[in-house]
Amino acid sequence: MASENAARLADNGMTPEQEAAFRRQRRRRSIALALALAAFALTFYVLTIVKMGPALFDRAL
Amino acid sequence: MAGEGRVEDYLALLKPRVMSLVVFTAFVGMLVAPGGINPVIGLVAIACIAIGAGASGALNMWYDADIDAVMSRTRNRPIPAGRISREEALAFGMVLSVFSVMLLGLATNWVAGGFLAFTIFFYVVIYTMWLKRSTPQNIVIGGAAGAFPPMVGWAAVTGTLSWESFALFLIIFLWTPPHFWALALYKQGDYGAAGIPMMPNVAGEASTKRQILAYSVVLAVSGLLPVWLGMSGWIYGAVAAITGLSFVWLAVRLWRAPDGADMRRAARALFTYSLSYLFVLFLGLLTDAVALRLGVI
Repeated sequence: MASENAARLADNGMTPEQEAAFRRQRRRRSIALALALAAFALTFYVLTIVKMGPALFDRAL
Repeated sequence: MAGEGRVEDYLALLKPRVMSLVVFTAFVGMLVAPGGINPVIGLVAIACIAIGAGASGALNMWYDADIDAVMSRTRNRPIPAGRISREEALAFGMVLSVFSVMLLGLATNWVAGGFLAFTIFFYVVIYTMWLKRSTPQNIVIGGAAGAFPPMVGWAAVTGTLSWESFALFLIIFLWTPPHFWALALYKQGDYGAAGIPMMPNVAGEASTKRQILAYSVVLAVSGLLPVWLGMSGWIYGAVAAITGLSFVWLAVRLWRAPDGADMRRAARALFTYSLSYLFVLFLGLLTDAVALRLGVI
């Protein structure tokens, strides 16, 4: 039984179930970080438009 | 193991409950300030203040991980529970601090941005690192950090700091000691075990109860300052008078309560009431400001 459990441990010391959970958490963190960065970029874009106002489009082409 | 933190754990580092109060008081500060602000810029400003407050929470948890592990109320926080490492919390808090200050400065003005930076510094360095573990006056002075957000909101609109914004600061500043000392009175074993010099452990219960009463009276009077300064009208005045008197009444009940279970019950009642007191008071300010702008009063 003990050797069976030991065999299940991957190189990083995690069982396959633990490793799957770890990867799932990491994926969720990555998605959250991507969303935060996208929100930040969008905020900057919208702020620029709002602060510069209609003058932004009032220029010779 | 580090790196196992869930998204929820990172959100918990931001102390969302404290953040909600900060957002609310900052929003009221913005709304009662003279003049106006573009709604989009206002929304960004509120988000920056919220993230700045969250960053302070994360930095507070980074520094306080050792004592958080001892107290029942805090031992399940992400760092003492082992879900996030101290280094991760430090990096998270620092990055959010810098981003929130820079964005607020760029979106509104640098008085607001600078004041948000000062607020974070005050909470993390002055309160968390210095005062919290060294003096029973910790939350009196440290409470200032929690009282700054409406001033930041005010500065975001006006670009200045004025006596009117100071009145909003004063209300939260004076509210903090009775709020936390009431909590400390029924949780004092916890603070004692963690070695934090809270007032009941240092000065005793009788002295703490007297000080709670004194602060409550000054708080109830200060609650009327916005009326005297002409910032708000009778709606807020009535709310401030009624809720202030109730606060003093509960403080008197605590002061007269004999030690033991009765005292802990009275302390708990005051603590619970103090949470809604601040919310209702600022809701009164908000209602007054909206009614004034709509021309209803």
